[in-house]
Amino acid sequence: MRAQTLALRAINQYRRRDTLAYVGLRYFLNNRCARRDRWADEIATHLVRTRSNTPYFGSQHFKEVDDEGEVLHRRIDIPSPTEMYAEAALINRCAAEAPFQARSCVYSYRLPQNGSEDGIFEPYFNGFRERHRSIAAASHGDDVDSLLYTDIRKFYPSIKIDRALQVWKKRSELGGLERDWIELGERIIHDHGLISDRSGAQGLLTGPAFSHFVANLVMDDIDQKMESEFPGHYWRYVDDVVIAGTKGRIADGRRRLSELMGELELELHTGDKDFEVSASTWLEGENDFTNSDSRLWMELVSNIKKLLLYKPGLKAELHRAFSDNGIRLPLLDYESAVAESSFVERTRDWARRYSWARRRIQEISVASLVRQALLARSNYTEALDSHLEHVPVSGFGRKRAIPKLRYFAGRLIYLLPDDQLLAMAGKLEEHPELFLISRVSRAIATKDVTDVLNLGTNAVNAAAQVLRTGKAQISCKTERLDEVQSQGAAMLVINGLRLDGIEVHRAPINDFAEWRSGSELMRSDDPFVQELACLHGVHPDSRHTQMLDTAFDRDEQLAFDVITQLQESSYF
Amino acid sequence: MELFKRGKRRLVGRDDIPEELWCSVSSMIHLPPMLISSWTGLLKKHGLLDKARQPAPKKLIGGLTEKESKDHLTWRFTGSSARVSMLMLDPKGKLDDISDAFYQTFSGNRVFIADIPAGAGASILTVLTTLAELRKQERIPRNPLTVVILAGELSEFSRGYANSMLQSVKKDLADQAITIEPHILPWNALDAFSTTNLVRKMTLHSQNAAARMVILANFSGFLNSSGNWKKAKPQFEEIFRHSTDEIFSTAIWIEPGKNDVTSESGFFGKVTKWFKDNFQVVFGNGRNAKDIGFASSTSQFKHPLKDHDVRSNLTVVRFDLPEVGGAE
Repeated sequence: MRAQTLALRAINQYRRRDTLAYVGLRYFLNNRCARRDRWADEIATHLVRTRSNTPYFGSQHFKEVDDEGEVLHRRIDIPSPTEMYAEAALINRCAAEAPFQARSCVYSYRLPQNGSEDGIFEPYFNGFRERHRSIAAASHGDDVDSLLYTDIRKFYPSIKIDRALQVWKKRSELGGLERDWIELGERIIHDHGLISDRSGAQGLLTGPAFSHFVANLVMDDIDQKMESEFPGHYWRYVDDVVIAGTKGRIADGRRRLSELMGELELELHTGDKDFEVSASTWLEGENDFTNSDSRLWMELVSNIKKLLLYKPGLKAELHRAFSDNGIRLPLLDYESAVAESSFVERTRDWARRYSWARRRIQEISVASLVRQALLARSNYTEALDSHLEHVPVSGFGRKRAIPKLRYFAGRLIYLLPDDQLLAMAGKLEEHPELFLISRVSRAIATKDVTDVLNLGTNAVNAAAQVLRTGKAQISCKTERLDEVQSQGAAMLVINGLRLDGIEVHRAPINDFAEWRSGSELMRSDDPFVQELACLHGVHPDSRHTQMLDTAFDRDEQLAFDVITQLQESSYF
Repeated sequence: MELFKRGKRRLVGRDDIPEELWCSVSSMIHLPPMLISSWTGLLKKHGLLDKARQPAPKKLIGGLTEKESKDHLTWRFTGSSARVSMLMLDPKGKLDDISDAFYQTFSGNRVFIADIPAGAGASILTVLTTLAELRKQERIPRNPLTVVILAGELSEFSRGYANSMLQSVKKDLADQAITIEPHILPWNALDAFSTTNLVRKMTLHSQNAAARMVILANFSGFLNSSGNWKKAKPQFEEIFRHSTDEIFSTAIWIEPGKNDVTSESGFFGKVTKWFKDNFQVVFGNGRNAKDIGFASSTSQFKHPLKDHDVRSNLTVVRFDLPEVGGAE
């Protein structure tokens, strides 16, 4: 049975985010009645509203390496599958009401258009690119000499629960939400407070979709004031703020912003994230997001999906051909998702959804995809090397260069054979901003996960999703894994990769990953693991890899998750 | 609280019903496999298996003695179960959206159900084993669910049968993430003190419940005779009054679709009038009470021990109970 909008949004949102969240959602949505919007609207929301526990998984992500070389982590909380689904319903309900719409100066976590299945929010890059265009337009104006970049310190954890509740209540009443929806929002925020409190913090959790939504509401007063006082010259993307104007004007802007933030007990960063750049320098990067580099990649991904959808019998051959050429693009099995749709539905969809004709599909073959992937490899290698040669030591030029390097390196992880990937890791290592991507590349090339385990679950998930496309055994040179490393080990196991003979700091999540005593886990004291185990059911073996290998629905995006896992911003 | 948006596609539609519970080719209900196994196991234990294959005597409505309780278990259990099954699955789409109440109430978390009179537990066992089968066949998610059961029944023998069967399905239910906490107690619908005790237990055991349901089933035979309805009304008022709550609360009254139940002056006519007269004030003007009416359906069901199918008729009323002090 085809999934309806909210199921697809939740799946597409979390596929890009986290293996565990995705697998949990799949277990929930593996049940046919649950795939309907009505199940999200009425059942998932009811369950969250009336639960007596707080099922979140505190996942440790890589944040940065400090001056002493110590790896610092950021806690990302993953809500239970039921809550993720309820969030999708709640945000969708809000999207129908005017008071929840973001201001034009806010570009992050914008609400999805009617019927969109891309995610719980609009794809992040759309907003990012639009902000860039808007800044470019303003920078051409006579009244703009400089731009100020600034950043809110510890954004989500600094938004106090009481304030979030107050803002949510006020706005939801203004939006005319029904009582059940208001209570659901209150419940989620309240539960964030409980989890936050346990870890010694006091604000919203970092990770859940509802945090992004509420954070935008909390910021709305500030956005409104800044927008009216600096019309067309103020932009916000999550915790990143840009103000444009004359030198004096942007200084006023920062002062005013800081004052407004103070009223909400929020603070601006004072480190290197807070800097000025002249409009003329900024405009050198005006076309950074309009080049054709991404077209090649998008076409490759789109063609792979077309082949998997319409010629599913060629999946094994394609996988072999990619492997023979040192390419590690993970391929989803769409066969059962396609088989479930009727011929009539498929044909109608074909005509309606895709403008490309049957002839175009016929042209796609295993050989053509290999050619395309090899072309991308060669183009991106050349581009990466060329950019590496000209990375400025500091300043705005460097800030512009890093995302480009990440872009090419992120894709080359899938495209380079081991020896070349290892060489790439060595070149990237010289740049601290590329530490994470370098370590992940090295782990994939050497099949040795010792270092990435220490970095956190985002690093492990990125590596695992690529490593699982090969058959080689992975290795680890540590004898005992600590708490953070054990979380990583659990992610490896969920991805079907094993570390044999290594003692692991055991947590319920490790038992879930290994599906050790599955039926006992259904009564686990850890409510997150309990819910996941119950949704999995008492099968003798785990079904994790089956969920990861198969497509949930034809309209599930073919996401190459590594790229998102290795994004600079850890605020999902 | 009205949680269900009436008129929408059902939460579990006809196409979603697995063949283990409904054969679309023969249009026949199949009782849940876990239920059949539990019931036949009990019959076997009491040497009633062969008797259950024989035709049932006419006008059997249960009673207090061991023989009456055994006869009811032997010949009436499957019919009672088939009615609840028909109600939950509604394969013919005749029962409006009453089935939705079951999936909402029992979707997960800690919930409470009162089954009165419980008899040998046909209603509650069918609800639980149907949910378990739907979970097993991956129609509905296996969210952790704890069901606190309060079964009120006058016959001590029937109480024993209900308890045995609930214990026997415990493991299979647990495999589908359903934990049960059964409480079975004597209850006499004609007795005010007995009812107050029942209500007290209902209040106690429904603490912290996410939703609750009261099922009243197969009561018309008893209440329609000897002026029993008149004597029992105050007790029902007490039960319904105490079932209103901040949480989602539903009462479902299930009876066989017989003339003395469905006719204008029949049993359900009396029950719905009574409900409207007594609860209109808490609904407030123009809310649900006016819409209360009963629905009927008919289906064949496959008898687990006989080689022919059996016809089952059902009539049901659903009451969405208002909130405490609910005049808005």
